[in-house]
Amino acid sequence: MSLSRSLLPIAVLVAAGCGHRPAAASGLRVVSLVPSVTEIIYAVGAGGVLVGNTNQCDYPEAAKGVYKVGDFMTPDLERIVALRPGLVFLTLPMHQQLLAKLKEMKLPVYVSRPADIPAAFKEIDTVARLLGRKAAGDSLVASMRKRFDSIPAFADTPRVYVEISGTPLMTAGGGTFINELLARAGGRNVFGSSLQEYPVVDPEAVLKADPEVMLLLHPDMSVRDVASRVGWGGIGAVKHGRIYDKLDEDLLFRPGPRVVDGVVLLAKLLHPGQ
Amino acid sequence: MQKRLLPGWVGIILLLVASAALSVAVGPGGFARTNLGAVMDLRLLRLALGIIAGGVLAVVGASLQGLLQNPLADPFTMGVASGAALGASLTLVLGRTAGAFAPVGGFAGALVTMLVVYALARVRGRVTVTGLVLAGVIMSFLFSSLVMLVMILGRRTLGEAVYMMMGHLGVVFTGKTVWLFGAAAVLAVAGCAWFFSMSRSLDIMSSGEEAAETLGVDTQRVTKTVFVISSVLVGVVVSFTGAISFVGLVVPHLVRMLFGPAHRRVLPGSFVAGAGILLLSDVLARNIVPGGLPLSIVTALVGVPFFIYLLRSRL
Repeated sequence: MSLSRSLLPIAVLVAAGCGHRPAAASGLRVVSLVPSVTEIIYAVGAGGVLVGNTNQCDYPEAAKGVYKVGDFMTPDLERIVALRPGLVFLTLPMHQQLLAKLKEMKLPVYVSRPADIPAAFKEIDTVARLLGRKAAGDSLVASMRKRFDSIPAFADTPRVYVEISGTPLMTAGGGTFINELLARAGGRNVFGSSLQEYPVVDPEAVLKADPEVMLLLHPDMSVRDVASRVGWGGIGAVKHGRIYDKLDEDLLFRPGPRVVDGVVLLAKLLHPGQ
Repeated sequence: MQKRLLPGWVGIILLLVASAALSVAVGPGGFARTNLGAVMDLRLLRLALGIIAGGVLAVVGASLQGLLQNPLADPFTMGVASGAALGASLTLVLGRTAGAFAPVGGFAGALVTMLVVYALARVRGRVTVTGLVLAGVIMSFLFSSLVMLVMILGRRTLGEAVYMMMGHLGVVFTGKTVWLFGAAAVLAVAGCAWFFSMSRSLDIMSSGEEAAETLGVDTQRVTKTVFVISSVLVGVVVSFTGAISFVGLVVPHLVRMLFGPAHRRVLPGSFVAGAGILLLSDVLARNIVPGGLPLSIVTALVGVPFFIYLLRSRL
């Protein structure tokens, strides 16, 4: 974990031939394998350069119409290469093998993996510059930062349990993006100390952690089902009816232009009336 | 054999009682007084699930081994558990309401697998040991891949697929599913009792099909009955716990070493020992690593050495 995190800010830029920057080049052909980067590309007005993305790149609406090179988890190498891209955006650890192959073929790649909110801002800036859209990136980041700074610091920090699967129970641990968002939105992830990104947890462990708020990020169960779980009746979130489902998960998992929306969404849930 | 009877029973009952006590006393929730009631609700349900799952898998294993005269028969090696896991996964990804029918999906998956494996393994009217295991292993591979596929297409996490294929007792029951489990438990006990009532037929069958027919046993009927009940039992259990390996394979052998081959002793003995061993495995699985390991990791670590011993000394 610590190794990959320390590598995060490093842009792996392998330029074809003798290191010329693909940046301002007009007619640049870009493939994005990362939904958050796809969002950034559109947000800085560079949607036109995108020649391929993944089935999960579904925002904004225009991204759905772009040629699909496969799933986010399993993009197809041949389809990517066939597009003759001038730059491929990918992420780790998801695209580890693909990265090695693309490098071997001397295709220019950029690894996007911001770990926290400041890094997400920086990422927007970097992607914008790579696409020759520095001005658009600057103004986007400036407006996001302004909105971000207007979110107050919260004195009380309720304990939060995030559930990403019901059978078995799985949650988001430390080192996940949503963990960072929760912290900024004035919440404490009860499994934030877990070293695994998405650990399986024991039902008893949730009981012991006694979260004050629960976020259900999976479709298995409704709020009512979770509230009726045997043995969980005494948990604060259940007693006070503070279980939330049907959230826009993309706001919470994608370190892209909508990250501030994600923080605002969480802040409103965690601190109603503030 | 006879004189081992009493110590044998004492041994496996002690095993079950000790495992049950550990299972109730130890857990990540600790033993604090403030929420003890809630912790006990969770642990007692987990205890019940463990007893039913371990008991059922071992009884089904014992019955199949007797029926097919095959020391390697068991819900897991025959692919039946994986088939049930596939059926249950299919209903789960279809959504919340369909998810309540997971036991039915599990049963359907188990029965289809049982019939396919039996048909594949039956050559010239005889089911060979190797034929059955080969067919089972192949179907098991196929269904494990399909579980993975279904979970991916259903946009589930790979963690869910892993736990479905390797088993766990960390089920959180809701107000509704706890009743479903109650019904499943009654069904499971009834099924095991049915097998017990067939002890005599199973004894005769295990000495060979032809011999059984000359002794007036309707082998076709016994075979069908055992297959259907096994499918119901395994399907229902797997839909709650996922596929757990080795309990159904190893426990009946262990019990036969204590009690001899008579099913009227092997079946209840397997239920008790299976429940005890599964609970013990669960205590290890959930306390070694925070969050818990998939159960089959532990049952395999316990089961494989014993199985190797069997392989070298008896098979």
